[in-house]
Amino acid sequence: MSRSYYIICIFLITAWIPAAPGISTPTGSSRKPGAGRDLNRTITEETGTTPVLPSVSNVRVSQWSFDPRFVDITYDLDHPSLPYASIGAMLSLDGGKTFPHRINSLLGDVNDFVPTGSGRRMIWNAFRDHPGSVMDNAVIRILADLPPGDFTIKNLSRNHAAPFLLDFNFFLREQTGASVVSNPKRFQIKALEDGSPLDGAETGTRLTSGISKQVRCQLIMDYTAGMADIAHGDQDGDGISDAIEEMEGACKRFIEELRADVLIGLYEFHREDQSPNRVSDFTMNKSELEDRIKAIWTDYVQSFPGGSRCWDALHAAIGDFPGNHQYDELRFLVFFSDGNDESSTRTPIDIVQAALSRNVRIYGIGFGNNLDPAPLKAITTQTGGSCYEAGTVSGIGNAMNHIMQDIRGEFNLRWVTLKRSDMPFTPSFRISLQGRELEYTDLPFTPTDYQGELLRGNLRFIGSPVKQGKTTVFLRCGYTPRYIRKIRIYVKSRYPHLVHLTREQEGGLCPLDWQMRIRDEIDGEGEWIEVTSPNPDDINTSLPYGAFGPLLSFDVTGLERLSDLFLGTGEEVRVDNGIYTETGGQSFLLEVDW
Amino acid sequence: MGNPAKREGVINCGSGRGRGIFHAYFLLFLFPFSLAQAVEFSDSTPVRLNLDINSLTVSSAFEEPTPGGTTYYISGSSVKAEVVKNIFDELGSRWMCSGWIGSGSIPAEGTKNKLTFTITGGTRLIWQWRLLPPWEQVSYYLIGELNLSEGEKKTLDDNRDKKIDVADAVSLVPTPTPTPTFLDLEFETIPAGSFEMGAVNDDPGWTFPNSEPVHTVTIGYDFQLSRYEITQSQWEEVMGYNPASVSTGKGPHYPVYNVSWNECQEFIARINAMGRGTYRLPSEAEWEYACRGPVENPHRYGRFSFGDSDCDATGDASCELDEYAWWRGNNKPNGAKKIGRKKPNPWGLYDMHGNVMEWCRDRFHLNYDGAPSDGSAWESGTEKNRVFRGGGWNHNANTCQSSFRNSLHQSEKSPYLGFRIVKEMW
Repeated sequence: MSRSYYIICIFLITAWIPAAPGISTPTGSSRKPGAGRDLNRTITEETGTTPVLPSVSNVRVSQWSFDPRFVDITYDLDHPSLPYASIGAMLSLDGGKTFPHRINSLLGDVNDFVPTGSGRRMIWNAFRDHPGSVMDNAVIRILADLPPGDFTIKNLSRNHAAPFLLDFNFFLREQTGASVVSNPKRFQIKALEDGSPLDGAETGTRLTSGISKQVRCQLIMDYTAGMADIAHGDQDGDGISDAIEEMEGACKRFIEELRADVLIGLYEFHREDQSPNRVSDFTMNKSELEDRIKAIWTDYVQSFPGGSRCWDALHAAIGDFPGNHQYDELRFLVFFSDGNDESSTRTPIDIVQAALSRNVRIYGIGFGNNLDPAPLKAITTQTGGSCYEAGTVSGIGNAMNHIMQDIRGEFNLRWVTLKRSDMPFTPSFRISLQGRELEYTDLPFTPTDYQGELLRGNLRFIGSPVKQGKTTVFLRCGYTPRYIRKIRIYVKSRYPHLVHLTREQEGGLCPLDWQMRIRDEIDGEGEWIEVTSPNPDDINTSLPYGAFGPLLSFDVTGLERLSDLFLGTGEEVRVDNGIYTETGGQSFLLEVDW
Repeated sequence: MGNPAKREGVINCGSGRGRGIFHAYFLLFLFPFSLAQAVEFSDSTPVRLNLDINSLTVSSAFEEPTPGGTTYYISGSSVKAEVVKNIFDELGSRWMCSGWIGSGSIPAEGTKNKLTFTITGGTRLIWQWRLLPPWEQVSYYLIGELNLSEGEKKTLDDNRDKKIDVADAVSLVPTPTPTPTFLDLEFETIPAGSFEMGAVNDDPGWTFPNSEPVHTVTIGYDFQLSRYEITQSQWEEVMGYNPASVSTGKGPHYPVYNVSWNECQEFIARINAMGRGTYRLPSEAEWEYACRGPVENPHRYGRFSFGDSDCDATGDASCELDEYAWWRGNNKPNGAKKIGRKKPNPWGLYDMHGNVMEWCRDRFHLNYDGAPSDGSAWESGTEKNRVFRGGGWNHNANTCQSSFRNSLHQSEKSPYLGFRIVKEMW
């Protein structure tokens, strides 16, 4: 959906109902413009006192016995006056001498607005971050800081879809532009239509992290002479500038930090007299991507960088985003540039138009001796993204971390309106935390524009190209009808596969107490995969109405081409909708997206 | 995990932008750890984390194997897998586990229903089954009459300890299962007709302006209205939960309450989907027509559908209403009461004047100006409040009248508010 109303929407923010520590009003802020999250400095300047930082103690770590992929981390968090703090975690592999790893795959009491108190708990999906490793001397460091200051709703985009789904993505940003990254469950959310509050259960009103959607992103890497200039340094003497190596390192870290089901594509541009190259199609295979990055200098640049065709690269990369499934995907593009491009056939205006039509946010990292930030800012801000300038080579990594922070800070709000008429209404929503409230009013929504079958959910298989006979495919749910306590999938495939249920703590759809069973077909070659709630007779164990997220993953081997899986001769996959005849007639539409 | 580390402290950062955690993270790429930053921290004691983990995916045509689905183990762990040796399928046929096939850390096949192995890689285990021949089939739980080959008959009940060799049987005559009334719903047929709708009486203390003006409504069709308010057991059977509270009356034969109008629509959609007729909420006009009773009822245009009551409009003294309704005057014990325990109205409908108030289909309008005159629901407009009618267990007599009407937001619920339904007759 178009994001062309973005500027208007910002001015539709109607209410700030102030008053507790942590969120303060724009007018009541004690911070100066630009001071941002540096609470220490500004408070000290204005009050003459040193702020008391939150304190952490009693950090305990234990690996789950029944599912050793996960690690419990508990701690106590204290502050004499604040009800919450910001929490991060680092990992040491040498008994606490150094802490080189930030811990990413955390759920629970982590990031912004963690309530103070004892027994705070987070769950670390350690296997995802460090598969196969054995850490004999691991130490977890919990870092605590003051919570964010003022924030407001920014960069809202709408992805409304059938059936009657109101779907918004947005950021909570501090005045400096920094994203608030927090567990969505900490906020109270109230959706309204024409000013009337809705029943959250009836409408499936749900605030989630934006990355709960299928994330699809493109990385556009700059190998032009501006980046390759040895004047940026060449510490290892390999003839490749430190700026290039810093960019590659930042991209690799960025890829590593993304979730396992994120689809990542890769482009490079290096000379004005050569077209930009698609280095990798969208794939979830991170090691393949890292190998491709390593090979760009030798395979494409071949040590002969030149001028820029950055805009052409961006336009081509945006064109790779599919035209469908926009409402179920979080899409963004990250590019590097110094803002100078005299040779592209495409212009920044073309890029913005293309990005808006495919619902792609663009993030930029500006670097170079002759940096022109204006076009970078124009492209990024008009698409709801951000641009970060890296003043030095080392700043490239920092800029990338800001972008990662932005992406983690995206929220999604969805509800299913009960209205069915062609009468438009004005949707709005309130987000509150600790008794304080932000209200946002959006443009009118006409239910009949998004009419569809409420009882029909959708399931989609998403995969990435086969590498050495292996791939992993995910089964995602894009919309869950009401009262789903069981999903039954029939799979017949000659290719060996291991099936995994992706639960909430892995960013998946199903709560922890849901179970998966696989039943072989007694007189056939297929199998039934049943995913069920702990008590299918109890509708209170249903999946949240309107929910979305990955349901299953399949590690497949012995495959030559992805297109053979489920679609080749003798292959079959379908969903059993017959199980819903007694529960209201729900159904799922199953799609194989390759 | 032992005692937590005590290395808590603050390291100061004078560098400016960003909060400490994230700022520290950015700088860590440059300075592996000696920087100053403005955050508190605390460390755990050193622990061993073994993430050399393998998955085991188990499938089976029958039974619930242990483990089932996909489970995860540290590499080198000993895993015990098993499945029940034999089972009966849904048709009563007996199957036996004939072993397994697999890949990964287990041999390619085996013949037992148990397996212990050391997992060292991703592993797949598929339990195999075979249908036992007729002479090995044993029935435990068929119900009916079994004709044996010797000409003997055996009656089977659901005693599962009783073993009968099906192989000896000539035929089986199953005992038919009685077909229950659909959800135990019972209806009264209300014939077509006309009536004066609204506050016909003009008694002080008994008239409410939203029940005016009085207007003629002609219902040109017969319809069926449920004899009783929908019960908690009916609701639970359809919706899977009971929203009632013990403190305000809970039990299978109590009327359901604490249900929003929207939830009533969901209830109706579900029973309609069962293919046993078409149901809906009554319109407000249908409800009042049914409440007042037939033309022959001398009290049709009285306060209630029965005699001239001696009730105080807003008091709680015992009066004639006690015989027909659960209301404030006889609300003991507190809360809704079992359905059908008071006298019905002339058309055989119970609890129309009391127990719980009842949702109707109509949107609420402040009065009857512009109301339909054909018995249909008044659904025009965007008002989200929906009409409810009838009296309630904690309500005054004047709000238990035939003409009384009120409203609530369609998503709201109340312990005083339930519903009954219309079954379409065409």
